Amino acid sequence: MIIISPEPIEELSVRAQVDDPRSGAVVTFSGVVRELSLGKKVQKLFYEAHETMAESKLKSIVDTAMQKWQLNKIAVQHRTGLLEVGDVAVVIAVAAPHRKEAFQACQYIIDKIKEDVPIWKKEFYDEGGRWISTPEENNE
Amino acid sequence: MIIAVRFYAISREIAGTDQIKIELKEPACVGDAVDAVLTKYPKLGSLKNHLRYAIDNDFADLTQKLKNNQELCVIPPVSGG
Repeated sequence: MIIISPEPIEELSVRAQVDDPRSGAVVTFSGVVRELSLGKKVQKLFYEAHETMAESKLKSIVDTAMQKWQLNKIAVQHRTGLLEVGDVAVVIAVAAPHRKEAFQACQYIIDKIKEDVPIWKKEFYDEGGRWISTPEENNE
Repeated sequence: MIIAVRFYAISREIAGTDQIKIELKEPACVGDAVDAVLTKYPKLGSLKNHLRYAIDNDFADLTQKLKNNQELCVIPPVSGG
């Protein structure tokens, strides 16, 4: 299951997508909006996505993980739109027969999301905002 | 040929629009479209070394040939997760 949506993420429902009697381990990762970023207090955060490409890239990351490790099921949900501190931005759930593979695959998926999935985060502070990962000199 | 160019995130803010159409002489590749976009929006130039491009939901390199009416997406550094 891969979902990119402005709807709030229900962490347990993502976890439930990977239920499988063959699994002895389920690792979930939740990415949450943090209050402090580079020493600045975050007021809110905006996620923008190229949705069709983001879904396609996520699918290929998930397919690669399924080939790389012995896994049973993977679910990924990423939120878009305006989020506040404490909101859940992304949840990854990986179910595998054993924990080692589940941990490794979960780490791999979040790392690849941060490299190759066209989703962008803009943080807003008391004054102004900034696109994350874009060099400072390019942010106005 | 006509190419639709779609901007995201900071490139959308700098361009001040999310989509434009450009006309290119055939044959043209992604790099030709990028040159035309940077000429139209010189402010994007400072971001040039950090931009990637995508066609049909996948990254495209600068030498990839373009077809009439294709959509080229400008992909600034990503920051999901």
